[in-house]
Amino acid sequence: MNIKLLGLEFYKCRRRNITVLCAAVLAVELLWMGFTLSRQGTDDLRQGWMMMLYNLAMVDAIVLPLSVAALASRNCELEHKGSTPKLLETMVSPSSLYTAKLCWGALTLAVLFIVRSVIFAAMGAAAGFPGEVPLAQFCIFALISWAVSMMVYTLGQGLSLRFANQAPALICGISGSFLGILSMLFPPALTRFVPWGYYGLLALVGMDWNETTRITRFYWQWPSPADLALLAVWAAVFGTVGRMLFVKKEV
Amino acid sequence: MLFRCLKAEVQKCRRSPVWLAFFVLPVFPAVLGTGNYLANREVLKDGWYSLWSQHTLFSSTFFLPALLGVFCAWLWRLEHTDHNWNSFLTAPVPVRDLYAAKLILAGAMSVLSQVCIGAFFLLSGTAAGLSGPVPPELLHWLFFGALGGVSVCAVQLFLSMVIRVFAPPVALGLAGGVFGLLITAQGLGYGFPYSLLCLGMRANNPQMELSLVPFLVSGFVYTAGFILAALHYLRRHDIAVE
Repeated sequence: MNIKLLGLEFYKCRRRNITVLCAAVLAVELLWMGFTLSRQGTDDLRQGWMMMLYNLAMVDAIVLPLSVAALASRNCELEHKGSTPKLLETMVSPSSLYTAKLCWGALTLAVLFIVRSVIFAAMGAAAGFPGEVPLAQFCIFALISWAVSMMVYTLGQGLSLRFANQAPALICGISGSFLGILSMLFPPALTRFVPWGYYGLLALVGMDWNETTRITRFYWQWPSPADLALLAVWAAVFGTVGRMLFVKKEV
Repeated sequence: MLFRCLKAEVQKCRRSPVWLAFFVLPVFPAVLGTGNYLANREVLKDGWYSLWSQHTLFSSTFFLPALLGVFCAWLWRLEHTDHNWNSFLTAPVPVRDLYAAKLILAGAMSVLSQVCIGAFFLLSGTAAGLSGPVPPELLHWLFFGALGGVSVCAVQLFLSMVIRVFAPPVALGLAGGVFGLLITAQGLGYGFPYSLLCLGMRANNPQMELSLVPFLVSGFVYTAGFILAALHYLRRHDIAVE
């Protein structure tokens, strides 16, 4: 993959409202968080930073599977519309084109999560959460969100490039949004089999609700290396199958 | 003429697997909702009513609006590709019939999704060994859910017509569902089209008394409003092929 191909991906995506799509994702997450914060009492806000990251993981599980699939679709649909693979593949290998698209997604998602972290850190500070902004946790959380989203993006890209009709990719995204939130109710052993469930599985904050006292306690938790390895396996499977289907596709 | 347009729309759907999603995807909430119900039987004590809330709480807010969004986007996708807009608007057919055919088909999908949800609900309840009669309100929930779905279809059809790409209107459908959940929680659900779906299905509270007049008025206003907006757009805007 050369840099020129990656640059061309950004060039192709001009005026495709990628920024608007990312802004809509941030808007939904901000609105959700604003709504959640408005319903919390002073006591709950004492654990504000942890509550924020806990809720963000939940919103990610709902919003990101479909949004990331839509992002992949925006980048891949244009190749079908313009019947460009026939021309492009006379100049570059399909594999490097696939890699360039993947890198475009990685960079776009990285920017989205960096901006999101800054916005939510500012929101927490403005809401007067006690203590310093947990910068390290925010960075790790952004990294986890990015890694899970890249796995989902790889699946979305594979489907969007394989089918000219974008419905399969988006229906897969809808199923992901649905399974993502519901998998938070599953036992972890089962969640590991749901790719979109990793938003919840790798959440940095856990919650303990005491039935008798009705008090909610949040606590930091670190993702287990085994789950991170499984995430990498999922991404590798989606990447390998998607690349193979794209490379072998008759143009 | 409307009937012929409808026939043409049905013909466009032939051999497209998109309708399959309406059969297959409701399986997820049914299986997962039933599993969750069985795992929490000590808390969920209302039998069929508890099972209904488990089946529909997430599906009516996050999943159905986006799914209807996919179908509406798919209906317009055919017109957005190649030079079909030119054929569409120069056909000797009133645009209201062309548009109405799409809305009727989308509405039929809303009904189909409710039928599937109802069928899976009955199957799951029986499989879970629920005693007692099936709630007599079931048809009511499904009917008003389908009506709420028609309002969502009217909005999504408009969005998919104006935004001439597939993915963003579907993402807006999901965003609408999320906003709908937040707005319903504030008690303002009757004022937002995406909330009508979960209110109609009584997703959060199966024993809730639906306020019929605000529900029907809101559904009518949104459906009629977006139909008029769509017809205005179709009549006033030149369709330049991308």
